[in-house]
Amino acid sequence: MKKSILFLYLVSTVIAMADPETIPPLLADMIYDKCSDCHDDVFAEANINLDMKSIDWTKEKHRDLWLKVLKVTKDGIMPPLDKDQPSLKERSELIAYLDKKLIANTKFGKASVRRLSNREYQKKIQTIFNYPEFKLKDGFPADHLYHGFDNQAKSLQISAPLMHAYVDTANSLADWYFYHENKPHQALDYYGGPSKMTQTFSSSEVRDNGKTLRLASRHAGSVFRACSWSSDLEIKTSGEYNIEVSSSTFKPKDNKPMVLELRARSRESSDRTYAHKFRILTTFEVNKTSPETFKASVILHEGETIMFRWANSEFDHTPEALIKVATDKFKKDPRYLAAWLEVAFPKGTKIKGSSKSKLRGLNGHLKIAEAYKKKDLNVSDAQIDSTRTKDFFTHLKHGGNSQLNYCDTWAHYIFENGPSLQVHGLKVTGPTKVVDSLRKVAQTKRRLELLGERKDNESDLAYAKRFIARFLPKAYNTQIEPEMLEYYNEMAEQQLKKGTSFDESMHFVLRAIIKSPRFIFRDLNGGSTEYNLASRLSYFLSSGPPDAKLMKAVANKSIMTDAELEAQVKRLLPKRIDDSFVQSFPEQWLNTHKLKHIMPDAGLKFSDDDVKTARLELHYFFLEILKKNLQLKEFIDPDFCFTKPSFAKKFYGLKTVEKGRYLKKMTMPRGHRHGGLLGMSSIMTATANGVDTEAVLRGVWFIENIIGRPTPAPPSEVPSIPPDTKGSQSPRDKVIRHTNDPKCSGCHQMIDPFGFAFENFNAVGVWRDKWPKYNIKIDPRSKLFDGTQIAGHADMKKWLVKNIDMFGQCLAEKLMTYALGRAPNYREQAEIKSIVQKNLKNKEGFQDLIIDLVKSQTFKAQE
Amino acid sequence: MNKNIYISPFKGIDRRQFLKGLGAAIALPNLETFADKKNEKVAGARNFVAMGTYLGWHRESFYPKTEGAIKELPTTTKPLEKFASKMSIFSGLDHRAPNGHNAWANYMCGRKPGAYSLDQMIAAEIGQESRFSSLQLIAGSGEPSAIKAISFSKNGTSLPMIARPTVLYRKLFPTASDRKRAEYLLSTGTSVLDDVLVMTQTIQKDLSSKDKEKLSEYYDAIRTVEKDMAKHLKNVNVEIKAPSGATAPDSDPISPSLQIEASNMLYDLLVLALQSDSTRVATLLLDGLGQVFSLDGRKLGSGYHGLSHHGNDPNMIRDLVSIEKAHMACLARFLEKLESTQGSVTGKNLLDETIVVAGTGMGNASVHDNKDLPTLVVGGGLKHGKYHKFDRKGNVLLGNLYVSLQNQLGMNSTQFSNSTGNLNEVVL
Repeated sequence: MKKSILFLYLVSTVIAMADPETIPPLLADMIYDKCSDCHDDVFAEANINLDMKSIDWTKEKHRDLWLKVLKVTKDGIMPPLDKDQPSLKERSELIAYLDKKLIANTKFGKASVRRLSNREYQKKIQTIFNYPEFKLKDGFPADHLYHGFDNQAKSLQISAPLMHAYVDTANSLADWYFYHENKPHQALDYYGGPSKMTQTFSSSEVRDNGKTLRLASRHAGSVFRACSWSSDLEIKTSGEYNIEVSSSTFKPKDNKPMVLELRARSRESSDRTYAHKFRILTTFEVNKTSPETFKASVILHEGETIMFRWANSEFDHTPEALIKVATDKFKKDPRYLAAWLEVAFPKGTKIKGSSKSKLRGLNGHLKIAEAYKKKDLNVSDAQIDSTRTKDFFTHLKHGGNSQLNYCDTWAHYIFENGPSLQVHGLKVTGPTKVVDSLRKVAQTKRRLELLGERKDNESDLAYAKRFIARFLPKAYNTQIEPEMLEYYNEMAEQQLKKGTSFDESMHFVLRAIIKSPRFIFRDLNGGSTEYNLASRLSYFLSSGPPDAKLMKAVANKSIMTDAELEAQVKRLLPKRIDDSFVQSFPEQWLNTHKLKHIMPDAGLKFSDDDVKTARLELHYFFLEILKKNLQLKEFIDPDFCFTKPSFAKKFYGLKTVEKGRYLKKMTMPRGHRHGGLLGMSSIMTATANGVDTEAVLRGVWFIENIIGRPTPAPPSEVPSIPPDTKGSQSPRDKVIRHTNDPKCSGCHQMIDPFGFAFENFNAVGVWRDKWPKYNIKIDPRSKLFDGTQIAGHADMKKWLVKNIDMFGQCLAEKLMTYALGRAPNYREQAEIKSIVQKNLKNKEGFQDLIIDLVKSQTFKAQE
Repeated sequence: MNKNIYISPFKGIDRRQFLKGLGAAIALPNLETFADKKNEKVAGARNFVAMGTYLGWHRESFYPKTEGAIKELPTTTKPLEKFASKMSIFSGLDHRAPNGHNAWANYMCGRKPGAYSLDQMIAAEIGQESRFSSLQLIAGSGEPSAIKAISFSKNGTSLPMIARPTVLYRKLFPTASDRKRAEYLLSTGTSVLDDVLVMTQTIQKDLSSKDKEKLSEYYDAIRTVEKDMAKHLKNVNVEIKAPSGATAPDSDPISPSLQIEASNMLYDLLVLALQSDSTRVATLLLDGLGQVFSLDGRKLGSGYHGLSHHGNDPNMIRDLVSIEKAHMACLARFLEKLESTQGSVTGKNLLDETIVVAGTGMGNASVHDNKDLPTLVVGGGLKHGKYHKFDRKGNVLLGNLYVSLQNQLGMNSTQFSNSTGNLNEVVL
C-alpha cells in the first residue's frame, strides 16, 4: 500500500510541479530502498521524511533536509549497520549530487538583527562612557550558548527579566552621572579610647586596662601589621573637623621625637590595604613619656575613620630590622636567644616555617616566654655568632612569609618592652565647614567629561542639545538622521519645560538613549554597508563597537578595500592576554568555560589554583599561535607549552629547569602527550565531570570541535538511562556494551574511538595507564571512522596532523560562526574550505587565516 | 526498527543534553521536572533563616556528649539550652564537598559550592509574594567581600550581602524621600519606554520581516516590563511602617572586631523583617577575619582567624570557643525575640513558624576540612529535642536534612544536591 501511495505522489509531483527538480531516478530508487523504511511520511524517524521524488532547492527547508542526508551519508552514519547498505558507488554518487546542488542553490547569508551579548553590551558601555571598571550587576540574566557561543543570533533573545536588567542598568548609569542624594549634614562629637581602636595580630596592643594603645612597627605593607584605627568612628558628612589626640612615648631609645602619623582610612577598605594608599591627614612629634594632647584641623570624608601609624619606628617588619633589634636584645640576654632557637629551631632539627612552629603573633611571643622560663633550656648555642644563630638569621632573611610572622611575634616583645609610641584617646568634632564628598567630586568630574564645559551664557536647552548632538553618534556608532536628533532634542526640551532640573532632564534623556534598541541591538541601523562591515569586524575581534579609526575608514569608504580591511584586522587582532577575543573565543570554541563550574574531586589533588592555571594555559597558548602567526598544525603538535613550571612538573611530567610562580612559555618536545589542544589539562577537565572520565563525552567533543563532524542527536528510542551494564569489565566494556546495538553504532563508531584514545587522561588530564576503580590497564586502541588503526593517543595526534585540513576547516567555521552570530551555510562552508586549503598549501599562519576569512565573501556579503 | 509510538517521559528536555549530563545528573540539584507530585504536604513552617560561621564550629564544644534527648550542652551551644526542646543537633552530616575555604559555600549549596543554594530554592517557592523574596546579610567582614558568599542564584551567581544595619533598615522601611525617588524612576521609566516604542516603530519601516520578528521580542519584553512597573508603581510610595517600638539604627559596626554588636543589630532587624512579612527567607554569614576581639572585658590571644588555626593548642581553642559561644548567645537572643513575637496565626509565635538553621560550610577550620559540618535546627514546628549522631562515612548526607526542611516549608522536594533521601522520620 505504501508503494502505491508513493507512486501516486511521484506521478502527481512530476505532473503538477515544474520548479522542483526531480531526483535522478537511480538515486531516488536508492533512497527509496535504503532510507524510506524509517524516513517516510508515516514514521519520519528523527523528523526526517524522505518521501519525495523532487526537491525544491529554492526552499531552505528542503536544503536543510538534504544537507542532513549529505552529512550522514558522508560519515557513514546512515543507514544503520543492521540495515541494507548502499554500495560505495551509490554513496559517492549521492554525495556528489547533493554537494553540487547545495552549493549551486545556497546563497551567501545575511546578517540578522540581534541584540548585543552581555559581553558585548558591557564592553560597549565601557567604551562609550570611557568607564573601564563598569561591570554588569550580579544577577544580570545570563546569555544562553548556541553552537557553543554566547553571541549567536538564535539564542540572543530579549526576555522580560533581561529588559528589567537593561532598565536597571540605564538607571544606575544615569544615577552615576546625574543623581546625588542630598543627605542632611550630621554634627559629630566623638571620643574614643584605646579600647575602641583596632588590634590585629601584630598591629597594636591595648594595655594599662584600656588606657594605652601601643604601636611597634612602621611596616609599609598591609595596615593590619602595623597600624591601628578607630573601629567605631565613621564620618557621615564630608567636611573640616577638629581633632585631638592624646599621645606619649614608652621607653624611647633616644631623644629623637617619635612621629605619629594620622591617615584617613575608608571604613570599607580591606585590612590588607597598604598604609600609603590612605590620605595623610597630619603628623605629630611626640617626645614626652606622659600623655600630651595634639590638635589639628583636617578634612575628613564620608565613610572615613582615623588611622594611626608610627612613621619613624626603627622596626618595620623587614628581616634586616628584625635582626638588628633582636641582636641588641640577644647580646644583652643570651637566654632570650636560646628561647627563640628552642621554639623556632630546635636543636638537631631542620628549621621550621613560622606557621609550623606556631610562632605567629602573640601566640609565638607567649611560647618564647614559656621556653625562657624553662629550667632545662639549652643555652649552648645562644651566642650571636654561633652556627645555629647564623643559620637562623639566614632563614629569617629568606623565609618568605615566615619572616613576616616572626616580625609579628617580635612586635609583641616591643609592646611589652618598648620602645613604643602610645595613643591614649581620640576626639573628633565638627564639621566646622562642609565640603563635597569624594563621591560628589568624582561625579562632578565625570559629568563634565560627558557633557563638556558649558559655554558662557549658554541656556540649559542649548547645552543639552549640544550634548545630544555629540553623544548620539557615539552611542549609536553611526551618523544620526536629523529626525532622530530632533526626537531627543524635543525630549530634553519637554523635560526642561516641565521645570525638571537640568541634571534630572539629562538623567531622563540618557536613560532613553541607552534603553533604545539602537543601543541594545547590532546591525539594526539599516546603516551603510561600510558601517555594518566595520561593526561586524569590531565585535568579532574586540567584542565592542567600532573605534575612531574604523569609523574613519567607514566615512571615507576605504573599509571596502581588501588592503584597508587587512590593515584593520592586523590592528585589531588581540595583542594581550586579557583582550576579549582571547578571553572568549577559545573558551567557547573548546568548552573550557565549563571550568568555572567544575570542582575536581578531592581525590584528584587538583586545587582551585590548578583549575585557574589550566584555564589560563589555553589562553596563553592560543594568543601565542595568533601573535606569532604560527601554522594551524601547531595547535595540535607544538614544540612549546604555556604553564607554571610546578604545574608542568606535577601534572604533565615535564622535565624542565624552569622556575617561577607564573605561567610562562616552555619548550616541550613535539609529540609530547600533553602538547597542544589534545593534551591540555583544561580540555581534559572540561570534557570530564570532575570525578571521572567518560569516553563518549570526549569523543563527542573531538568530533564537534576538532574535526567538525558533529553527529545527529540519538534516535528517540535510545534509552535515557544507560542499559544494564552489569558484568562490564571496564569503562570501555560498558561503552561497547551499550553501543553494540546497530542503531547506536552508526554514530558511536565515529565518536567512541577518539574517546577511547583520550582515556589515558584522568578527569583533570593527568596521564594514567590504568583505570583506577577497575585497576586494569587502559586499552586505547581503535579503528577510526576512515579505517585508520590507532594504538592510542599518540597515533590519534599523528592522524590529526596528517588530516590537518579537517581541523583547519573546523576551526575556520568556528571562527566564522563566532563572527557572524550564526553557523555558515553550505555555500559559505565551501568558500571557507578554499580559504583553508590555500592556507595549508602555502604554509600560512593563523593570522593569515583570520585575515582571509574577514576578506571573504561570507564575511563581507552580509547585506 | 521498533515503530511503537513512543512518548518520552522527558519531553521538553533535550535528549542529547540529557545523555551528556547523565554522569553528572546525580549531582544536579532538584530537577523539578522529576519531583514527585504525590508528596504534597501542608506547610508546617513559613519562614526560613540560616546563619553560618565562615570559620566553622569547634565540634567538641558544639555537640552534646550523649546522643538522644538534649539535656546538657557544651560550651559553644550552652546559650541555647533553654531551647533544648525546640532544637535538634546533627553531627556527622556534610555534602561530600571539597575541602578548603574556597569551598565554604557548600554549606547552602551542597556538593558543588556555588550551585543553586537551599535558601534561594526556598525563596523561589515561598518568597515570591513578599516584598523581598530573600535577604542576605553579613557581619564581621569590614570590607564588602567579592569572594565570600552564602547564597547563590539558580544560575550560580553569588548574591550580594548587606553588612550595614542602617542600609537594611532603610531597605525594609524606606524613607519618604527614598520612596519618592523610586516612584519618580518608575514613572519616568515607563514614559521613557513609551518613547522608545514610538521610536522603534519609525525604525521598523526599513526592516525585513525576519528582523521585525526579532524586534517584536523587544516589544513584548517592553510591554511586560511596563506592566510590571505599573503594578509596582501602585504601591511603591506606600509607607511601610516599622513594627511599633522599632527604631532605626544610627551607626554601622562593620569592623570585623565589632562582629558581635553587628550580629545583634542585624538579628533585631531580621525579627522586624519577618514580623512585617517583608521577607520569609534570610541568610546571615558570620565572617572570620584577623582582628582581635575583646569579649567580657578580656582581650583574646589572637584574631578570630588566627584562633581558628588552633593546632589543638588549648589556650587558642579556649579563645576560639569564646567567640563561637558569643555567636550562639546572639542567636539565643534572636530566638527569644522570635519566640516572644506573635506569629501569623493566633496561638503561634514567630519561632514556631520559622526554621532557623545554625551551621557552617567548614567542619574544622584548623585543618580546612569540610567534613562533618556541625549543624543545628531550631523552631519551625519540627520534631525537636534530640541530638542526632550520624556516621560521617555513612549514607546520610546534610542534603537529606535539607530535603526535610523544604518539605516542612511545603515544598515537594525529594532531592537536594547529592542527597540520598530525607530525614522526614527524624524531624517531621
